[in-house]
Amino acid sequence: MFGVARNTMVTLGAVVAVYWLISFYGTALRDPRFLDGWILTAAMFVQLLFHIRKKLPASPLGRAATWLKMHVYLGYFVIAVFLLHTSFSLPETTLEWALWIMFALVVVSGVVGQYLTSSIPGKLQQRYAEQMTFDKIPTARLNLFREVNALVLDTVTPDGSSEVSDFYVNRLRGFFRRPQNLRAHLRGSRRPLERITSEITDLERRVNAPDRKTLSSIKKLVTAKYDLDHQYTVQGLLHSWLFVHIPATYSLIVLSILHVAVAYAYSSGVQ
Amino acid sequence: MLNKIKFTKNQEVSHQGTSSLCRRRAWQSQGTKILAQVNRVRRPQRWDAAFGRERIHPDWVNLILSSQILGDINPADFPDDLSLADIVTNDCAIKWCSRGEIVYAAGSYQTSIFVVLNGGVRVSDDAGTDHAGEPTAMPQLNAWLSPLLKGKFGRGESNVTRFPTVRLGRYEMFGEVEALTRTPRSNTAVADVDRTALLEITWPGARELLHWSDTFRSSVEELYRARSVEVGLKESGLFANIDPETLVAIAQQCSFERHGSFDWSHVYQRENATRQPSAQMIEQEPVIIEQGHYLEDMFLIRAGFARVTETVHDNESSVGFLESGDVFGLAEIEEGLIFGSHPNAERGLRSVGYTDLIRIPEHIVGKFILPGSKRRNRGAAPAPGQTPHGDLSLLDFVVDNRFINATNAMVIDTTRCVGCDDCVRACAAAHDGIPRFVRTGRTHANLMVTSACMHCTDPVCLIDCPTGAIHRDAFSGSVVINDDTCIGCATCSSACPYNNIQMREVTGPDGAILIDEDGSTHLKATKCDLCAGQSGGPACQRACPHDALTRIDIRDIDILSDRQSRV
Repeated sequence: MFGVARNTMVTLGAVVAVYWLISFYGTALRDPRFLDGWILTAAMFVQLLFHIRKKLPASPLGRAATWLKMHVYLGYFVIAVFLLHTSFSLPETTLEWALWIMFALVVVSGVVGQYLTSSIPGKLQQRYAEQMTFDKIPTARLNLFREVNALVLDTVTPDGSSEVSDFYVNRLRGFFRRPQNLRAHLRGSRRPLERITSEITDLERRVNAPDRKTLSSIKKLVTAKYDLDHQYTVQGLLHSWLFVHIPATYSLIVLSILHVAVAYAYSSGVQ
Repeated sequence: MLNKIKFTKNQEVSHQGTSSLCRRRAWQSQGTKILAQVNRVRRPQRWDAAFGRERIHPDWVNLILSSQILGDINPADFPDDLSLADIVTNDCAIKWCSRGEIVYAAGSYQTSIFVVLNGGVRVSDDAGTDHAGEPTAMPQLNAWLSPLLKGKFGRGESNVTRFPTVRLGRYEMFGEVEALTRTPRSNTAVADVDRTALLEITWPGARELLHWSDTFRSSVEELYRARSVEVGLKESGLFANIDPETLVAIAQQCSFERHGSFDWSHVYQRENATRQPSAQMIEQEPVIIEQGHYLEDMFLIRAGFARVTETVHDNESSVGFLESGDVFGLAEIEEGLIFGSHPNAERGLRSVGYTDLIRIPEHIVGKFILPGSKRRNRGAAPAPGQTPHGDLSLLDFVVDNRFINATNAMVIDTTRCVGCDDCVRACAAAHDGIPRFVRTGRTHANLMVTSACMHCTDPVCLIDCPTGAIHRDAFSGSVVINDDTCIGCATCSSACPYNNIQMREVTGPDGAILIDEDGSTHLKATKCDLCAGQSGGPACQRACPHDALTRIDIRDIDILSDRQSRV
């Protein structure tokens, strides 16, 4: 907590210092937007260094955890300086709109990503004693699919009933083959699972004892598959925000360079 | 070779969950290309490189074998393909030292046994003082400065005379205690005269001698037991103000005991395979003393680990563990002496793996230890309502899985880990593209102890290495593998109780896989080396952006407990 308070104070102090510097710069009849613009550019460049640090994972450039903290707090600083730079107003030209939207996209994806990375692992840990690694989930899903297939095939005999296999083909095969109920997993709902298990319970009343035993095993596999899908969805979410944040960052850099060039091309000469 | 590669590729296909014929053909075609690139070279063998800079001259070997240097060792006890002469030639070295030269420094990790051939050696009598015991930066400094000091300041005179020493003369053996227990040197050995000649028996050589020769084994064991008591008492610090003569007299009244077996890892692997519940694991551990039994001696743990247990309503559960230097029963004996009653063990004690301990009689405890003793006593009963380590389930997890052995375990906080794999990428980047750990492992609450080498206090992986390729770094104590002498026999890999050593195919400078004349692939053992030789420490820890991954000495369970409860 002490670290959070200290870092917040330092960030706020830096924002106040920039605000004071801009005001002071303006009193000298200079255009403060050049000053805060360059501060913003420099801060964004430092933000980009974190990405470079991540690309060099074994480098002796300090701990990535420290870099991330700096990235987050500097991110809040950048938001404040951006608002000062835009004078809390909406853009006017197409380029400015593109820049503004891209900046908003980077900020929103970053803040959302920060929230997700700080909240999801804890929730997953509470729900699952042992979590599955994201890249192993497809293999685990395939194994469940094979296991349930084998169980159902065992029920199919020349003189046996076909109720379990019919139910499997019509209702469960698709469920086991690929990730399902993504929206329910995002909401944290277990309603689809309850629906399937209640259907299995209904079927249990109509079948013979060996099939009932099979259905009981299938029910366990359904729960395991549902939990696997939940992990897949939520862990996927943990990775997916970066697919917005990073491309948007690159676009923002290109647009910023363009913006600097345009600003100087059309400047009055008073900087 | 052909089958192996095809098998591997098909395995990958099945893991991907596809049966696409096209993809399988592509894999096979790729496999064929790899096969076209393989290099056939002779597989490295034991003794390709002798331990010393050069092999011991046959005249010296004959001299060693004909004299009583190695005791009554009988060459006929050794098999034809592992003759005594071969062992001496390849696994031993003659070390010439000038007066004052350090043979080994206190705190350094070095596992050779030495025999004085000529001249003499002084072994510092500084165990238990500030100069000995725990590994520090000092051994490195001592070793670096040794040649300088020797030349500048009276040829190392200060090294010989600085501390009280014990002189060892011709044919006397030393260094066997640390060799057998795989612990850091407890004292410093310095050459006493110029042209002191020492026979250095490396651990692989010593292991063969111990295995094949009963006489050598019994003489080393006898020496170990005798010295272990004296060194253990000195190192413990319990007798810090006692003069050396009295301490020798005390040592004669103490006794040495071993519970469990040095070869504990295979037993553990068998138990571990069945993933038994904690209570069942406790039952299988050798009993040192049962709760409530008469405690006639205090126990000083010399090496290995012991589990402190408490039995309530016939349920025996862990309440703590002891490691080298810890004592058990002090509080009970103190209470017994105060109230004039027979001390009974308030808790039980069981050997975890193996435990070497020294029994210190009650009257010695009363006369020399209790007056003014402030010794830590983790085995004694804590105050009511308290437990030595707080979270007992965490304690069970650590002891049952033998993680108490870990000095540098990779622990991941699963409430912080987002699965970004930056740690794995960092490890790969630091090791030629091949990561040296798997981001999975045993989990307790939010802590996952991953499958990365833990650099054990008692690294059983290096016991049976035929070449000594896997060894402890002399200064840091971390377990490392010398790729040049690893022959890929997989002994270490199968001995590791935690399955943290992998065997990998070896490629030549052109990237082609090396295969032997008989078609089998060359393998080398690989494992986490804590990014030895790279600045900044382990890359995995530095690369974790969420501060989820840390390297922890699990023996200090409080650190683990803090990590578990961290917000």
